[in-house]
Amino acid sequence: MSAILVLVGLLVLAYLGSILVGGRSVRGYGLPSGSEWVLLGLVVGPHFLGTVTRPTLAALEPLALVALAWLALVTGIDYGFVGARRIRVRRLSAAIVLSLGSAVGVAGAFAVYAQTFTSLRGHDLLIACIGVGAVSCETTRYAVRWVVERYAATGPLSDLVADIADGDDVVPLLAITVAFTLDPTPGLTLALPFWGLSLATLGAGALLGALGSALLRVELRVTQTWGIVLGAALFGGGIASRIGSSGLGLCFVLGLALSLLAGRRDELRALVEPSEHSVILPVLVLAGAYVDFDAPAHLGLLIGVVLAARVAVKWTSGALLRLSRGGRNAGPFLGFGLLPSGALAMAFGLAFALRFPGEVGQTVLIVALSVTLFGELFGPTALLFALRRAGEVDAPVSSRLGRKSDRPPAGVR
Amino acid sequence: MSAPAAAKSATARLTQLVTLVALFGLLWLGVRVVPEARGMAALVGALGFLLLAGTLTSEIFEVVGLPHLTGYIAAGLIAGPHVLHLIDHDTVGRLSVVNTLALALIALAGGAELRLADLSAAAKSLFSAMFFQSSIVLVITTASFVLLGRFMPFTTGLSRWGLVGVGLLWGVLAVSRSPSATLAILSQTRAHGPVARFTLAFVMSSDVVVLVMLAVAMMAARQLLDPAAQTSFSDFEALGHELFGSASLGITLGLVLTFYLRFIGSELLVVLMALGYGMTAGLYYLRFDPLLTFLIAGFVVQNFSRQGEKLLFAVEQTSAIVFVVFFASAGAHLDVPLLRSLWPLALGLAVVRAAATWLAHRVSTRAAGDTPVIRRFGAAGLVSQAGLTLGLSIVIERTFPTFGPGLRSLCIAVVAVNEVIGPILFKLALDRSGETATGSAPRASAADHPPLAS
Repeated sequence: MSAILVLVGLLVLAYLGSILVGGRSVRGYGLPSGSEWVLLGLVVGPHFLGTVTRPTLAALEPLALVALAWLALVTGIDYGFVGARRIRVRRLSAAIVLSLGSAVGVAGAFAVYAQTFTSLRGHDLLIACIGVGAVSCETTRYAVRWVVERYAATGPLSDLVADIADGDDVVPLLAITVAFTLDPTPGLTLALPFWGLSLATLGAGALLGALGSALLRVELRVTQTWGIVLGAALFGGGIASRIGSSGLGLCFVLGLALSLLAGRRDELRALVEPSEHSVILPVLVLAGAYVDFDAPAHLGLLIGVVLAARVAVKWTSGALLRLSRGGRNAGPFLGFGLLPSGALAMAFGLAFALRFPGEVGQTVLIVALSVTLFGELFGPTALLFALRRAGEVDAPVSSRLGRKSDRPPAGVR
Repeated sequence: MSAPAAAKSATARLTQLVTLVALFGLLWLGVRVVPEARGMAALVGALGFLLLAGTLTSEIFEVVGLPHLTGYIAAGLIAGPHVLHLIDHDTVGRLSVVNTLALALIALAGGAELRLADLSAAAKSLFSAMFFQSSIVLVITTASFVLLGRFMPFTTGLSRWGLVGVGLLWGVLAVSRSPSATLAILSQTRAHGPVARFTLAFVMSSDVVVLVMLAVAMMAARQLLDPAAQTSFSDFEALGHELFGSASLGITLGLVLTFYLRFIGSELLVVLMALGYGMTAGLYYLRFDPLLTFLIAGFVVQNFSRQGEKLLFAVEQTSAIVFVVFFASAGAHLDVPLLRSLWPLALGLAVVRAAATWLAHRVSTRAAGDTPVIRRFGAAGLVSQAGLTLGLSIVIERTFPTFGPGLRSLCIAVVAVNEVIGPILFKLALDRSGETATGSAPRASAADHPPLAS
């Protein structure tokens, strides 16, 4: 299939995404983490039907890069907030610590597996471990939002889970930046250690964000604002990729800086948020299409080890959250309610697959796919149980669906 | 189209200048650090850079009254492969992917800007302009080409009549104008008035006339170059196929868009992007003209439904991005070494073309009895040339491989001159005729602006 046809197909998906994920007309339709779109990509991709071939995917790489950069930018602009509500520093810290713990736990389990059953060693092993940790540590806010909105849940537990799901995005984004700089691009004339290159990447994001903010302070026209924000994201993504670093990390910091320094966070968020919905589905489909099950060794074992580790770390996270005031009444299923993983994890997996073609990238992408599908099966149900137990979901589901009064509470994303 | 820029403070201009310098510095650093970067990183980075640098350069150029378009071109030119070499040849070539979408949106907007009532009111004026511009400019530029022919290496060996044949092709290229430049200037200035209406209507509709003229000229040139060759009407067959096919698809697309706008109307940007890429690919496959198809589609939506303003608004939302990328990449494309080697010839031919355009305008406006403001300022908008002319030169190059490449190089050089000078002349004319909204726009405070999300 030609690249243009695939591009048009992705635009159709973007259109559907803006409706389905945006939820203007059919809120509640589709799976919480969007796994059906990943599976669609998998089926039409080179590994199964071959409708979308590898050369076509290669031709669409710039598009994937742009989509990933944009997703990271939007995440950065919205970071630290759930809707209009600012996440408290303690909650944000808890989200970061739990996410970091999850990343280390899953990466550790993967390291043991990889040293025993694969040929990955040294540099490659380290990069793969960071990648596996990065795609396994977060809880997708989209699934949390799906459950909370669909069942009109309100209360301290709903807020807690939403805060944790929003606040944990920073860990994988920074981890990816570090992983990418461990393997600088060939031909790089700048002799910097990996941490220097990571800091340079994030610093470039901050600098572009500061410049963009200065421009936004003097530029109030909508169309020009679009040009500045989009231009900064593309330029940042391109510069980061040029030096072999992560456009995701740079664009996240760029978005964060814009949000903090431009003084117009709400307006910026309102401007870019609808586009996030349009980007998600194409990213999920592209990520699915990139999966190559032949690359990693002992696939079943890999998936088993990673999923077991993720279940363990998320259960532990849930147990720790139950010690807090918001999670006190959640019951034992709270940790499993943190299992959903989706657009961002798949985006991180796709970024790895693009950056490290071969075993390392595919291992990370397959892990992202596995945790997304597994989370889809159990996560939302477990979260619903936890919310019910906490008394934040009271009416039967079927009686409320489709009514106007079922609109999500203000401040819930 | 985007709102006219409010007068900005010196601090704002300084901020823009500092940011522009910082952007160039960042890109320079990126290129120094990884000199051999190719592929997606270079493409995406270049796209972002051109968008930002084009916007900022145009804002800075605004201080001295130059059109935004000139700023976009300047940004691309300076960063491009012929000046600072921050964006390489390969990347510039790959930016054409974006131009596909840009051209579709520009043509759609162009068609939607043509209102039947305006066209009917100015029919006499337009017919007159079409006739005299096509004939006088064709004759004068053909004659000048024949006279200067001995200075052009690619005409060596051609007979006198052969030279006339090539001159005819040159004449057709000279008759073509730039719809994109016209729309970009009108988008920036939000000009309303007889000069803006006349220029828009003429430039958009002359596209069809130029296509017909090219087919005739190619047939004539074949005969003149090789008198033994048999007359072939295959060009007309292809032209008929192209025109009728484009028109029917344009009408169909217009109707589909009308229904969509009427009954759904959401996510127009994504729909337009899908149409821009998908339809253009399909149209090229069918050998139809995308520019004409989208132009007619926009025209249908504007004039045969009540959805025209909705369509225009949707396209205008993208204009600040589309025009910047389109013209900045055109600036990066400008072949400076070629222009340097051909500049005396290119400048001479550009001056002759501008003079012929002015003369034809004087004759046509007198014949049509146009208002003084059109007589005085109407010619200025007809000087710009850009993508359409270059597209025609590619057709000629393919059809006549012996002298085609040389003719195309000359065309690129002349278009470079007209691409830079034309928009400046047009904006000057709009300013002086009092049709530009910028001049009369009140100084706005932050509170006067709508919120970003509006």
